[in-house]
Amino acid sequence: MTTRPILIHPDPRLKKVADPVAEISAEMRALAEDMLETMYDAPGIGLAAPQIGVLKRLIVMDCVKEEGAAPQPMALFNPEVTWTSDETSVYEEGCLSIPEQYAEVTRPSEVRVRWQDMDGKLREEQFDGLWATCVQHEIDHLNGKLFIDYLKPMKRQMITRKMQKLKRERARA
Amino acid sequence: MSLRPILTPPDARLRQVAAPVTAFDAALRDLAGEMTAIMYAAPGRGLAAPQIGELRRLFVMDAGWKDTGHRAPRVMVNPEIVSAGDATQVMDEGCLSLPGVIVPVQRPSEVTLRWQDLDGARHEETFTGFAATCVQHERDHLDGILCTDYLPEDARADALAQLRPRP
Repeated sequence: MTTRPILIHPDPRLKKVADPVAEISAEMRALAEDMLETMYDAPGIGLAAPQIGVLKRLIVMDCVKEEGAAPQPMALFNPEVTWTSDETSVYEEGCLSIPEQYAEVTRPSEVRVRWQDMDGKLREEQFDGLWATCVQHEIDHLNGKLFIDYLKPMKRQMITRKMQKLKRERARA
Repeated sequence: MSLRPILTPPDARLRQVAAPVTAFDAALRDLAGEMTAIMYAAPGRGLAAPQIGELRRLFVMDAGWKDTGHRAPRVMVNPEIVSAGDATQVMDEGCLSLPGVIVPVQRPSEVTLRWQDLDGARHEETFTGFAATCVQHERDHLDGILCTDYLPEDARADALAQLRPRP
């Protein structure tokens, strides 16, 4: 397993719609393992393939439930939201591609998601709490959408300018 | 997705007295889930709500996961130490709000904690060893107390000089 560099916004690859994964090959499974390692290293609780420059519909997550939970690293190929609740919840979200910037985002508080697992098996599960927010945040990445796209233009532009400055500083370092 | 940051000094929210939790609702459950995720990602063994800017009386802890590899998170709402033994222990304490700082702190080696769970049900349990230190450390955060507060002034200054930015 290897950690991969995470793209920083603004980057055209973060604005593209990713392609479906046609076959869950050994190569794709290795990519998922790399993404999990990159996510844990960051640290984060979710990562989408476009964030490491791979325009494929694959996300990884590890959100922990409150009581008695084992670690739950998950790789979701071709994930699709099949149902969303009317009820919403607000979380202060951050993104590994937008370091150190946080903002409140309102999303459905529960969602059903269908995906293919590492073995190519079709699965469907309902997510709530932080999991619901995380899975929607990651699926947005597959459609070229970032959490700052939910913010008012002024705030979004301010964050984008900060990220441009951060990238210039990193390039010089 | 990344999680919201853990506050570090001189953030004033680390120094305030948190308010009791009165509503045992979905929002509380969501907050506890978020705190648990932040604790594991940090990685740490305990996290109190004020450390992420929520001035409410709850903390999460998992004293053993780093040693056993098995996660068993616990959520303590409105925790109170109802009794403490006379014997004390000195343990090296770290804090997610004080990255880079490790300080020896003397505390009772056995304490009985009373708390509520996410449904509001009351629990009481006696903790010893590392877990005893951990519950006292987290409980302190709810009153704006940091582990470095127990050091003599010059040792505290030396310890805080080790403070580095969170990676």
